[in-house]
Amino acid sequence: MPSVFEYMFTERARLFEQLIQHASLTFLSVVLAAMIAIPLGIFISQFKKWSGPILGFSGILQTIPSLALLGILIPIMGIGYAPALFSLFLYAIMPILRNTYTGINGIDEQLREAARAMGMSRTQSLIKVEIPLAMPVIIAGLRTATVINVGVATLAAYIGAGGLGEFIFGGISLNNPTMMLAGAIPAAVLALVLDAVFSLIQHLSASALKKLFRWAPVLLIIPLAYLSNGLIQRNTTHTGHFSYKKNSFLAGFTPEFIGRSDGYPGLLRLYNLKLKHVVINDAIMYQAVYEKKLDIISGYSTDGRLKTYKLKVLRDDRHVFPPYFAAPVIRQVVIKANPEIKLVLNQLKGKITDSLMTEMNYKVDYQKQSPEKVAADFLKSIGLYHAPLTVSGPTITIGAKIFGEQQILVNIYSMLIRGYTRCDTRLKLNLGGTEIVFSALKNGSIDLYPEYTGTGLLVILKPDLKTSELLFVDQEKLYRYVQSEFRKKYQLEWLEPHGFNNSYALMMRKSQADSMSVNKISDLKRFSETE
Amino acid sequence: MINFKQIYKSYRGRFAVDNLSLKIEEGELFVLLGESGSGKTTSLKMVNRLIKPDAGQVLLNNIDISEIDATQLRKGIGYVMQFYGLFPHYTVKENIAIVPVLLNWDKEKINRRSAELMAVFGLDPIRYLHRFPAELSGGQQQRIGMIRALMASPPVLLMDEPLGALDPVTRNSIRNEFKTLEELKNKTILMVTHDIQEAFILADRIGLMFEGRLIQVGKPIDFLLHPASKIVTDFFKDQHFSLMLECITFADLLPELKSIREFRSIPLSTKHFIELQDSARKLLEIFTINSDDFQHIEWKSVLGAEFLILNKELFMNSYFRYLKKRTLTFTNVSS
Repeated sequence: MPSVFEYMFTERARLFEQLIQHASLTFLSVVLAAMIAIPLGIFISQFKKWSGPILGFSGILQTIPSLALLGILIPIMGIGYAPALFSLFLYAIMPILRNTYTGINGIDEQLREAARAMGMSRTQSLIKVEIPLAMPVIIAGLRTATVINVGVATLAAYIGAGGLGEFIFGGISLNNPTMMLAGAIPAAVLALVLDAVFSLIQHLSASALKKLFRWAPVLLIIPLAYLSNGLIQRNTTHTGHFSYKKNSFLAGFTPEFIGRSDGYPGLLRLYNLKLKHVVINDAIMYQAVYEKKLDIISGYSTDGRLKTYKLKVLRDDRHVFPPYFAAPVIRQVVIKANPEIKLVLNQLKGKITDSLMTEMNYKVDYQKQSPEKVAADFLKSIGLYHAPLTVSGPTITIGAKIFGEQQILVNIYSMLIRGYTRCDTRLKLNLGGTEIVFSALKNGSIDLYPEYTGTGLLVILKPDLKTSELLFVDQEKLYRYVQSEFRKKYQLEWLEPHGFNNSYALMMRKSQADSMSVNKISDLKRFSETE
Repeated sequence: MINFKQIYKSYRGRFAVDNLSLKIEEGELFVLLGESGSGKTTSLKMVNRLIKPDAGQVLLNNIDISEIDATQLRKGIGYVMQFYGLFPHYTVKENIAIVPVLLNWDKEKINRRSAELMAVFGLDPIRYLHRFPAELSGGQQQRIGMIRALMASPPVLLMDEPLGALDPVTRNSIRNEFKTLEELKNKTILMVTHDIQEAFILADRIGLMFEGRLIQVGKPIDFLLHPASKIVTDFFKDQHFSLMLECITFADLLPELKSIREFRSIPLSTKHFIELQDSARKLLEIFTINSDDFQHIEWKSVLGAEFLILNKELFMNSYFRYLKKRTLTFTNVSS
């Protein structure tokens, strides 16, 4: 725990900036939503036949997953503050709308009748009686929307709008709880403080509330002016389109890429490349670059989306990204008992190129073909496919991490083992991240799984920076190092690598890269910020 | 003043008001009496257009109210509600100023009128004007509800179970205020209640409603002496005696006393007649045999009929004293 606060203290400038962004997004989105939802709520309380469709629609808005919503918004609003604010605005509508409607409907019928009987018109009754009396319920709706939006505002970090989500998602993807808490604690405090403020307002007496409303314009204008000022400033510097016209690059990096030493810090170190960038979610990034909202992104070199979005991988001419060559990692005891498995799997040596792997990923992730079919098609195409033999040997358990590429690989392994040996196979898919699948291998729950050399080095072996940098330059050296260390430390064997390298990569739209004749990362030097 | 003309109103195929025709005279306090669901509140709310009749007309000063702008109409009709209907977010001052503000009165006029009416209802303006309804007792809230209805001095006042939410003691004291308040004297008041006692104390005339129909209209005593049907008799049965104490006057008894001589020749159409004649006869017996009051009784013969002439107060006192002594036997007779 103390380390969290130390970390927060050293990062206080960034944290403060992100807290302000977070609060401004939350606040502005709720104010905007209130400006729409309160009048709309009043409208449907008067014209009840509209209430069903409108409340239903606002409910549907609430169920759209944030990533999907942001994906829809990219072509229209680009990335940065605008789509983040708009999504938060949509999410805030439902609680405010519903509470306004319920609040006005819930008023004692006697009072409505009294207002009418005294000669008030419908509008006078609304303004003088119904809305003031519904105010505690309406404020409760604002309170709910605000507290929800403090949580949802982390989505801003998906789309380059900043906020505390940068720390939280960075911490999650880097498996760094300190960093995650550094973002989560201020967010929780913000939620609690806002909740307490609203609770106070909600329980004010009628007369105090009246006074507050008299001062409301002043109370609102000050933070609004301050926050929207910040918004305008950020918006002009952060919209991809804008930057593009000014002939400067805008990059989109995942929180993980920004946090890892072999990611953006590596670019700074080895290429001295300082790119104007935003933090963005992996799922959003590819579409954003495709829609020309970004110019360059950090991705994985065998990602199926390379094909979907017509992207070009820039050559890493100074070897900042460690090689991530895939190979099966297997327990030595299993090989001793079944030596033929090693020979069978080594048939894959060098057979899967980057483009073949990208193609297969594309089929699974975007054409929604099953990993089994893709695996079988591949084996047939390289002439290695064999129908399963009758089983008479032991069962080999194969594990996989939770993404498409691993599932294809383990299906290939399984088909090879069953086609060439008498062993049976069992698949344990979706074992989560590296830590989980590796500890499963160590304790014998699984017998083998596909691993990447870079991951083996950085996540499992974790040598000092100097050793790693030396190894990054040469895949052959790296493979030997990882292989011998795994043998010594864990009694695990790395079989022959398949040939493709699923490493970090910088990628651009192919058309843009070609027209600017950018082929390798050092070609980007001219876009580097020179301050 | 208020004229209901063949009013119908039905909810879900059931008549709430079934052919109501009724004329309420200027300056009278008319009570619509009936059980809950008898259609009395529905009828009341038609006067200020809170409810629209399915068929028929309501005339106010001979003008069809459906032709008057509803808000305009309502500003001219005071409305008092069972649960007071005070706005919880307004102070007493703001609550009672609602109609005057809608009528664009100036501040000073509103303040003057507020203070005046607060004083009439025995509420200290300085103490109460700035309180919220929740800070007042039920009786005080009802008085504020009355003040609110009376602020703009409307000629017509509608009261929907005005005392229904109060405890019996408070109810009694406000009832007495009703009878004495100068503010209410010249108003045409239509009141709805299910409290028979209240109706008898306050009403100039009563309209008894039953299942949407108006089954008898008349002075309170008429319902006891000349019930229009068995429904009416049954409605008042339980409280018959106490109601009689409440409303029988010497004038009401005169015909009975007059007929003592021809006791046997009077058609015994109802039980009440028998009882009254019986008791009057007994009273007369008491007077005749041993009361000092007897000396005040004088017989007079006019055009062949015999009349009693006596001091009214003395007579009523003797009569009630006698009835109270005889309560037990009296109720036995009536049941």
